[in-house]
Amino acid sequence: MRRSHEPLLWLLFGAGGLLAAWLGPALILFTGILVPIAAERGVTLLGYEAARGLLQGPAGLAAVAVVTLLLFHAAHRIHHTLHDLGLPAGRRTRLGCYGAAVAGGALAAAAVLAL
Amino acid sequence: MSRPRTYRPGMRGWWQRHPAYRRYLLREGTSLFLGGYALWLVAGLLCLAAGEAAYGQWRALQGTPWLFGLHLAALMAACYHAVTWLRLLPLTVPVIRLGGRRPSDRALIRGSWGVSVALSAALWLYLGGGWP
Repeated sequence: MRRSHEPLLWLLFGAGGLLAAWLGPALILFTGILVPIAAERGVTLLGYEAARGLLQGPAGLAAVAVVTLLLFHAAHRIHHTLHDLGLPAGRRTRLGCYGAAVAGGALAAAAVLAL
Repeated sequence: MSRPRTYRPGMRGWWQRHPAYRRYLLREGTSLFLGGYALWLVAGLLCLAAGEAAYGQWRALQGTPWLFGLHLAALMAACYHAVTWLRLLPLTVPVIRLGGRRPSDRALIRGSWGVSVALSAALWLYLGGGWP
């Protein structure tokens, strides 16, 4: 019998889901809501130098891991929900979903390495 | 002999048949926002690596009404995701034993919310520059 990739994909999906549940709200609230509100009031949060400093060493690796797992979580759910909605979800959508996650993770890793 | 013809409702529009099905789709739909947010972070990392001007543009875009609204929607999606995900933990995590005993479902869910609070606080301290 051919082995399925599903357990591995589920593991990545599950890890991403748990991380999203634990850190997602705080992360989005900080980077997406607080940073622009503070900027409007003339307070710079996550400025250029600060952000570069924060992503040095293991923290950069952690950032890449968080982003990649979030992408895998979304890719897995989107692919399976397409199937649930009765849309043709097959090899092509799988390639598109997981491929985008892999590409996004690789770009994030390249960016952090280039800092 | 031919099979007896029975009524088969089909799967078209199944999500309209029960509120729980709609909640299921809503839960799965949170992944669109989480994935979109992750892609936006990748764009931010790329801009950060490209230089100060590019990063400044990325930051300026964050403050536009459209992206601010999308982040608000993503925040709500992430909260709904967190509630549904942690509620299901007793069904999804492998058996955990603490001191030879299994924690109750309630204890497991409460503990996971405790981890969430601790990790979120640590993240905010770190991003805000107050720690370490």
